[in-house]
Amino acid sequence: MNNTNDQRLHALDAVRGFALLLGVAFHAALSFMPGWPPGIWAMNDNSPSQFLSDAAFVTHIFRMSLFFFIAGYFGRLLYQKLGASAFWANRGKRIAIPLIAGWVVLFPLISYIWITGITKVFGGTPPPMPEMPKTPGAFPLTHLWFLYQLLLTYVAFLSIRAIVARLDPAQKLRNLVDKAVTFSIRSMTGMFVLGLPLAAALMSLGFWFYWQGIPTPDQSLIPQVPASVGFGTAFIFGWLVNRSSDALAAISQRWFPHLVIAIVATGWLLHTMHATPMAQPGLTKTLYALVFGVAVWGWVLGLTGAALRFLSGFSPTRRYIADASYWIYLAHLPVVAAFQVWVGHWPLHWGVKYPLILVSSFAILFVSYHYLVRPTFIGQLLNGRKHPRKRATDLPPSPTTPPASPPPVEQGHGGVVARLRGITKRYGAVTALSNIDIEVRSGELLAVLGPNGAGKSTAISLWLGLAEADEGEVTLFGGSPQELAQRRHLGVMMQDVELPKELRARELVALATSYYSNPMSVDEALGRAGITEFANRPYGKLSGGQKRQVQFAVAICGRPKVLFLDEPTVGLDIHAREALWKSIRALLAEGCSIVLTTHYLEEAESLANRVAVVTKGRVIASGSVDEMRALVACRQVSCESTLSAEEVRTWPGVVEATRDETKLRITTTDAEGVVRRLLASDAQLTRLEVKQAGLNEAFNELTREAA
Amino acid sequence: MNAMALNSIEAAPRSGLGIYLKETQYELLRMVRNPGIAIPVLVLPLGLYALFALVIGGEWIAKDPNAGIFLFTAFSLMAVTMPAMFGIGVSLALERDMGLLRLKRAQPAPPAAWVVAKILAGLVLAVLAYAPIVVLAVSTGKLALEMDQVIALSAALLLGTIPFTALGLMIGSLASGNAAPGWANVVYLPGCYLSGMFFPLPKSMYWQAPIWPQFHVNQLAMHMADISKMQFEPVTMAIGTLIGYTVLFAAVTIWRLGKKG
Repeated sequence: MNNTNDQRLHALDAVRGFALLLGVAFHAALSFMPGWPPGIWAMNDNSPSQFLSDAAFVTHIFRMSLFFFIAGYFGRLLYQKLGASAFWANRGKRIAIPLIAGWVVLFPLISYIWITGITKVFGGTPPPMPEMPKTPGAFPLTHLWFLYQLLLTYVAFLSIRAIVARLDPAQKLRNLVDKAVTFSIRSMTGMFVLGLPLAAALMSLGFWFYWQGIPTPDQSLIPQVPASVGFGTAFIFGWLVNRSSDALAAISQRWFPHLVIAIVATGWLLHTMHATPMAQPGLTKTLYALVFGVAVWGWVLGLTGAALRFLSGFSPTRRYIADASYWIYLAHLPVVAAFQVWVGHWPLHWGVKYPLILVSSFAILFVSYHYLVRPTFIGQLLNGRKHPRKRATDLPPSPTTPPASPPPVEQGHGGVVARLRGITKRYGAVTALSNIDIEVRSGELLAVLGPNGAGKSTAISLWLGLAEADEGEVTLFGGSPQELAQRRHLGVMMQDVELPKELRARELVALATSYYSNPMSVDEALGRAGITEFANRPYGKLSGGQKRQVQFAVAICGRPKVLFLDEPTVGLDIHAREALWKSIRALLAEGCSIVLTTHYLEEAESLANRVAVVTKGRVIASGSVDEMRALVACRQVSCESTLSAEEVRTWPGVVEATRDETKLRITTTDAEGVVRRLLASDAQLTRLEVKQAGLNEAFNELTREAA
Repeated sequence: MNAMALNSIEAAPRSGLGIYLKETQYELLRMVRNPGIAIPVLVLPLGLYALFALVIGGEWIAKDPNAGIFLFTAFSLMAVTMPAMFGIGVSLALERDMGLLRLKRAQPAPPAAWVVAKILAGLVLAVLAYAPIVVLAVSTGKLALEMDQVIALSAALLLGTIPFTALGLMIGSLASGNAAPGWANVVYLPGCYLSGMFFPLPKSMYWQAPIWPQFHVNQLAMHMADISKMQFEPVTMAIGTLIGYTVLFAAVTIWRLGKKG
C-alpha cells in the first residue's frame, strides 16, 4: 500500500462515517414530516416542517448507496489482505455479531419507545398495534437491516466472484472491466449507466411513494428487489473501484461535475414529487426512476470525490468521528426516538426542537461511545481498534538456499521408533520445518536443541499426530501417529498446557493411566515424578514447578515406549530439575526412548545419547554427545592466507577447513601444531586468530551460519 | 520396523468403556467442584422455583393449577439446560485456551472420549439439578399432574438438553475462555424471557417466540405430558425445530474444532 492510497483511505473512512451520521439526522427529522398519518413513526410532532421533509428526502436518496459503495471498496481491501476464511471471520465479528446482539438489545427498547410515543400521539388510547404481515420471512429488522443486507451482499457477491474467477483465469475480462470502470468515471457516463438497474427495479414497483426512494427492506428476511439491486450495484462498483488502479484518482478529479448533475437531478425530483407524491404508471414514473438513478450516482461519486479532494490525509478528529460513527448509528434509534417522543407536544417551533433532538442525541451517543465503547471490548468488536493477537511472524521464512552441507543424522544400530523423513511444514507463509530428517532409536534419548521458534515443538506435534506435514513422511512405531494404535505407546509432556485445576494430582494421574494397557500404579507414577507429597492437592493450587512435575507424572504413567518431553524443566528449581533428570535416567534404563527439546545445553549434555541442533526449521548439526564434546575440544584458527582449504584439510589434527575470498578457517584438535605449520607454509600469512570453541559457542556459531 | 515395535502395538488396549466412565466421572467432579458452575446450576433454579411457586405464587397456583405447571416447567427447563450452557460450553472454551484439548488429542484416549464425557457429565448434572425441583413440586402439591404425566414431562425436559448441549459446545468451540460465559448469557437469557418461558407473552410478541429453542422444548414437554391448554404449535414442529437446531449447532462445532482444535 503506497502512501497516497493510505491518505485516500482516510477520506473514504470519513465518507462512510458521514453516511452513517447522516442516517441519525435523517431519523431525527422523521417526527416532523408533514402529512404523515399517525403511527408511521414513533411521534408526530406538533410543528411539522416541509423543509425537513425535503432535506430528509435528499439525504435518503444517497446515504445508503454511499455506504454500500464504500463497503464494497473496503470489502475488497479486506478480502485481499485476509483471504476468504479470515474475511468471513472478520465480517462475522464486525457485522453479524453487532446485528444479532444489537437487535436483541435494541428491539425491546425501540418497541417500548414506539408504544409510548404512539400512545401519546393518540392521546392515551392507541389503536391496536399493527401485526407483522403474515408473509414468510417477515421480521422487524429495524434500522439494523443494513447489516443484514450487507451480509447477504457479501454472500451473493463472493459467489459471483468465485464463478468469474473460474471463467476468467487469465484476468483478461477483469482487466477490461478495470479500464471500463476508470473510463466510465472520467467520461461521466458511469453515473447514467450505473443507475439503470436500480431504475428498472423501481419502475416495476406497484406501490411507490416517490419520497421513500429505494423502499427500505426492514420488514423481512427475504431480500427485496429494489434494495438488493440498488445497494448491490453500489457494492460491486465500490469493489471494482478498489480493483482498478486509477479509478479513485478519476473520482477525485470529477467531483464537481458529478455533484452539479446530482443537484440538478435532485431539484427535478423534488419538483416532480411535490406535484404528485404517489407514482402513477406512465412516463413520469419511468422518467422519475431514471433520474433517481442518476441522482444516486451523482451524489455517491460527487461526495466521494469531494472527500478525496479535500479530506485526504490524517486528522485525529475525523478519525475519532469515523470510529464513533458505527456505534452511533447502531445505537441511535431509541435515543433519537425517545427525544422525539419527549419533545413532540412542546409548544415550540421545529427550528428549535429539531436541533435540540440532534444535539442531545449526539451528545449522549458520543459520550456513551467515549466511555462505554471505545475503551472496551465493544469498541474492539466494532472497529477492531486493537489487535491483541500476534501473528506467527517470529519464524522468518527460510532462506531459499540450503545451508552448506548439513550433516545428516546418521543411522545407528538400534531400531527406529520414530522418524521424520523429508518433512516440510508450513503455517501460512511461515515455513516452520524445511525438509527435515530426524529419527529416534530404541532406548536412546535424543535431545533436540535450538533457539525459540526453531521448529522443535512443531516436530514434536507432528510425531504426536496433532499436525500433518505438508511434505514428507512421519512415522511412529512404523505407522502413522494419527492412529490410536501407535499412540498407545507414547507419553507426552507439552509446553503451554494447563491441566484441569479442580482435579487433584492423584486424580489426574489416575485418569491418564486409564488410557494405557499396562500402566504403572498411580502411586508408582506419583513416586517417580516426586509428587507424592502434594498428590492430594488440587492442581490449581500448585506452584508452576509442581504443575510441571504433575504433567511429567501424567506423561510417564502409561509406561510409554517413547516419551516426548517438550521443554520439561522450564520453571523448575534446581532440586526438582535434578529429581526429574533422575527419573528420566531410570526410564532410559528400562528401555524407554525419549525425545527431549530444550534450550539448556547442560540438560542435553547430562542426559542425551544424541543431539540434533535445529534452527530455522532445519537440522544443522547432529551426532552423539561424544562427537559434540569433540566439537567442544576443538579450537578454531582463522587467518588471511593464500593456502587452499583442500590442502589444509589433509594436515593431521584438522577436522574441517573452509575459506572465503580472504579468510581461511580451520577447526582443529591440535591448534598449536596447525599454527606452527601454517606459519611455516605461508610467510605472507596475517591476522592469525585462535579461539576456544565451547559447545555453546559451537551452537551459536552453527545457528548463526544457518541464519 | 523391528520386532519390538510390532509386539508392542499388538498389546491389547484397555476396555474402551472404562475410559469413557472414568473420563465422565472426572468431568462431573470438575463441574461439581467448580463453584462458578455448581452454584448457579444446582442452587439457582431450585431456589427460584421455591421462591415463586411456594412463596410468591402460592395463591395463584391454588386458584389455577395450570399456573403451577407453568412455573414448574419454567424453572425445570432452566435447571436442565443450564449445565449444558455453563458447564459444558464454558468449560470447553476454557480447555481450548489451556491447551488441554491438544494434550487430549495427543494422549492415547479414544478421540471422542472427552466430548462424550462432557455430554454425559452435563446430563448427570442436569438430573441432579432437576431432581430436587420435581421432588419439591410433587411433595408440596404444586404440580397437579398424574404420575405418568410427570414422568413424560421429565423425559421431555431431559431430551431438551440435547439441543442446548449442542449450543453449549458450539459456544465453547467458538469463544475464548474469557468470553464464553458472556456469550452463553447473551444467547441463553433473552431466550428465557422472549420464549414465554418465565412469563406469558403479550400477543404482539408471539411472532418471535419460535426463534428460541426454549420455546420448542417447552412445547415438546407440553405435548408429551398431554397438557393441551399450553400447546401452541404442533409437536412435529417442536421436534423438527429442535433437531434442526441440534444439527446446525453440532455442525458448527465440528467444523470449528476440526479447523482450530
